[in-house]
Amino acid sequence: MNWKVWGLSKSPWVYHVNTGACNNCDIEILDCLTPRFDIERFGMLLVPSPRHADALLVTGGVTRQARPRLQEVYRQTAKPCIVLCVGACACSMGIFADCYHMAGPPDKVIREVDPSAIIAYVPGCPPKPEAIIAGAVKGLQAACKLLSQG
Amino acid sequence: MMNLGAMIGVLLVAFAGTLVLGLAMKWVDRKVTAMVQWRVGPPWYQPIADVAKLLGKETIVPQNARRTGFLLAPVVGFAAVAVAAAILWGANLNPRASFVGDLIVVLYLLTIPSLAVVVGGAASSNPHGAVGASREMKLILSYELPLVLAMVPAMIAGGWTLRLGDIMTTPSPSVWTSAAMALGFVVCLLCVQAKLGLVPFDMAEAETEIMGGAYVEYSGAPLAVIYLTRAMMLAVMPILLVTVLWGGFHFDTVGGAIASVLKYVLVIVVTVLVRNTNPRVRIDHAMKFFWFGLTPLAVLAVVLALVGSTP
Amino acid sequence: MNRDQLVKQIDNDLGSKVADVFRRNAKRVYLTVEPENSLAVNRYLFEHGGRLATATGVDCRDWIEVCYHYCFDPLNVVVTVKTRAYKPACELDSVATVFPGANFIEREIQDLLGAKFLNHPDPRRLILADDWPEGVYPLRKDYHHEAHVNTGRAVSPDHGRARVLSALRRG
Repeated sequence: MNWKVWGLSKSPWVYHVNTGACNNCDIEILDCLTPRFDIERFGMLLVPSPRHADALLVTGGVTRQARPRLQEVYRQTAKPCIVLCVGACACSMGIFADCYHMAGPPDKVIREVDPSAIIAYVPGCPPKPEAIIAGAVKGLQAACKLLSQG
Repeated sequence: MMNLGAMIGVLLVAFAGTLVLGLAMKWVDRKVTAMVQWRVGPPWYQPIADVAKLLGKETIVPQNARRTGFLLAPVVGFAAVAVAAAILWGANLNPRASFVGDLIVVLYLLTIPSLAVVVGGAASSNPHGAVGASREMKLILSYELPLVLAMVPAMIAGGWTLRLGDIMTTPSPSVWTSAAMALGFVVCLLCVQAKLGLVPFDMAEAETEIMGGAYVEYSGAPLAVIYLTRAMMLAVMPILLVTVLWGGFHFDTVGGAIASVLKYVLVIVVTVLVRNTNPRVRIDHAMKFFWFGLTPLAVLAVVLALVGSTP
Repeated sequence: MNRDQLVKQIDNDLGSKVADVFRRNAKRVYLTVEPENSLAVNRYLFEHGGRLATATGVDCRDWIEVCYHYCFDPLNVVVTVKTRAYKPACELDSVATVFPGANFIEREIQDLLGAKFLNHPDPRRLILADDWPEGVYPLRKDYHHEAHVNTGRAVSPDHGRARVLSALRRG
């Protein structure tokens, strides 16, 4: 793989977007940063701005109010980037699937602005930090393979 | 006086060397932080991977941003650090070749990266950027004075000189024996912490608070340039500190070389430890600290140096 | 003072304002109150040591029942005031005029159930989306989910206010 893709695989900076989660998945993401799981050894840093990010960690199903905002955040992220849907609600709206306030799962919302977005799913309610790390690794491997192919 | 080819050669060698040193020191920073927090840190090539990745991302300029200022500011800051690094390395490796006033030139050049942060943040057309730029401006106004004042004892001890070469070669009281030099060193160390934008004085880039502050809209190659500028500042500021206030780097003897490396590493480690054990302060607290805390101490150091130099 | 003494004191002071008292168990009392007396009863309970824990609402067929729950912590008693907002007007006096703690919960009941609180100091929408249509109350029993388009506003394709300068990733 060329050096840009190598850089992306070794240094994925993540930005966390909560689009209507109950915060359980957010707590588990925070756990990943703690010394026990320590994702910084993979080069993952939590960055303050979506423009700096390579991976968007989306938690929660997208509420009606959050839908244009999530799309705006995705457009602001510098490509190439991957989207990691963390939690059952982010994968498929979870138990809120038929609720009046839901506008869709994040992957449907993001594919409205970018049909070729690279999206990885981490199911669980909430997923364990090990599962989040495994999902991030798989997502990055898939992204690097796609980007290497052109 | 060197010819143009030699000057460009020196510039390139110093630039490359400081770049490598800066990336290595960035790794040291992250590794020591990880060790303090009982973690395993990133591998040694992490800063290189960061820069490679940033160069591979797209560059986005917000539509309402001032495009020229936004894109030029990081480059200007980067260039300023490179030239300052070249002057410092030249003075350390060849003290006879330093010119009168090169300390002033180095201090002047090293303010430019901070001003570039202000310009870049203000040109971002983002309220977070404006807040970050205003904080950085206030911080510059606060720490520049004690930084310069704290170097005056070294200038006095070097024989009332402004040449880095004289400061290094004149036998002067060392930081362990002279109160003025020790006080100046401590004041300068804290000002360096603010200049590097490290906790407790990183409110211009407050990650958790204002979404990256002045850097919020940068992405891709400009962000890589900013990253490299900060890495080079992390390498250059301790070099300046050791050169002026702690006797400089002497690579002619083995003992001198080991002592130089140890001095440098000690300054870096102290900086990183201060960064890991303190919370971020508010901008008005920082201004009060610098104006009413460090500036009087720096003035005291100057007075002590004056008293000590006129027996 | 225990639950019975508290109820006797309420009876003495409020008398006819309380339509019905139901003692469920040693810790719970339900006071049924007509809508015109609800403000007076709420004010009384608040001024005599009750802490408004929350307020709840139910859509009964002809009225919306709003319950205010007051905790009397030293006595270990919870007193609930049940009032009705009769349809179609669904109006009640706002308790937020008495104490500001009821401000947000009344706005929430107003958004989701459509009970109007008169003289509320800040009757703006609280938790429904900005572009949610007026007059549609999701927690009412006659709210039809399928008939209501739920996708809301999307960002338009040319909404982006940024220019992508360099395409290093394409190069």
